[in-house]
Amino acid sequence: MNEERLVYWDMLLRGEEVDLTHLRALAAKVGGEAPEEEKAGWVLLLASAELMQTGSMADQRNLLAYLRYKFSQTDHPKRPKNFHPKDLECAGLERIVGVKLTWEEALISVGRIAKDAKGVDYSAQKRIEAKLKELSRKWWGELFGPLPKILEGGEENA
Amino acid sequence: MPENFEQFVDRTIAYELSAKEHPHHPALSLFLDDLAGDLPPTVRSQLHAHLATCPQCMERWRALEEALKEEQSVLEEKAEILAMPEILSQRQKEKAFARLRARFFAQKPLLHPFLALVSVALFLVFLGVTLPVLHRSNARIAALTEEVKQLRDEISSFTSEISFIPSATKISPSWEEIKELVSSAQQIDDPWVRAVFIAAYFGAHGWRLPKEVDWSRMRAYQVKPGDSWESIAERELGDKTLGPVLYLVNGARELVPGKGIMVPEKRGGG
Repeated sequence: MNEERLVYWDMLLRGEEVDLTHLRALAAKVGGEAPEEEKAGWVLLLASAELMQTGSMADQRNLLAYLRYKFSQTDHPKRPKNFHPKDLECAGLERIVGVKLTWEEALISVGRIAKDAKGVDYSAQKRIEAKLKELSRKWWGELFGPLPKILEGGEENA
Repeated sequence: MPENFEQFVDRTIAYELSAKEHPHHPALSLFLDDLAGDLPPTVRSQLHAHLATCPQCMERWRALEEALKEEQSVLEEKAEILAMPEILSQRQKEKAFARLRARFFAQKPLLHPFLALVSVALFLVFLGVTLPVLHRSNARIAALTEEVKQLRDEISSFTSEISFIPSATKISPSWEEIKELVSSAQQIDDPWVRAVFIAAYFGAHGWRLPKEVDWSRMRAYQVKPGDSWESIAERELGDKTLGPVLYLVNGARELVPGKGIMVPEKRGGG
């Protein structure tokens, strides 16, 4: 199942449009007895796809940077030779997984000026997390009912 | 342990990307098509979804991408070195041509058909001049060929008539010829007249004595038993055909072992 979702993650990481209605229909097939990880996978994907579709330009860019940052943190494989974050402009999973981007590099990869006089803008990461959390809560409730503990208490982490 | 949303995201993504055992792996050609950008978006994303959960395939894909990048950079370097001067000169030519075109055609559009007419007229003049010249040349070549043929016939009929002339390549006379010369020369009493007669006889028969033998410097040779004029000529002069000439030089007498005869020196050696 996660390979099916990864196809959409790949499209999102490239900044391509994903059909939210189609995604919702796929997620709706997952029953209430499905493992929590499966449910979480669909919920996070739907939340990201919706924010990419409905968010402002700044939200879209920050979301893209956030997803690239998160997807690059896996243990395997290593960062290739002559790597530069600017080369990730149209990159999908194939170039992002395992390269362990810093938040600054993730911002560069989406064409943002990562550093100003105040330093690296980490607040953008927190703002996107808050929006994603809200949307994840919405989708979980709509598809699977009661929220898990980790998604409860919307305000405290925002 | 308090959990926050960041952990939820990290855990979910880690689950999404967790390595799996794949029963099938994509073919190398698919990797190459992907790197060339030839795959449709859906197939491309399906391939990348596989790569994300198959570390072996991801490693292969990245190694291939790296190799292609290196190859591309090498090719680009070569192309730049070779092509830059050519590109620059070509651009200069193109600019000059564009200026000419702009000057002639953009400002005077009527010049186009006029130039075409001039070209056709020049071509017709060229044909008018060259065709008669070519025609005259052909006639002249035919006449010359006929003349050469006639001359060739004349030469062949002439050479058949003069075939009796002795060959000039003959070097030395035979014994019969020498004996004939001796019998004629013995009838002449005056030795000077005899010498002139012998020289004239040689010349008339086209005999050429070898240059390596110096007939003006003579030395004594004691005849050995079994010697003949030919064997002496061969041993002393390196040419047995000079035997009759030695016979003539020595007064046309028979060889007697122990007696001396005169033999010319060889040039250069002795």
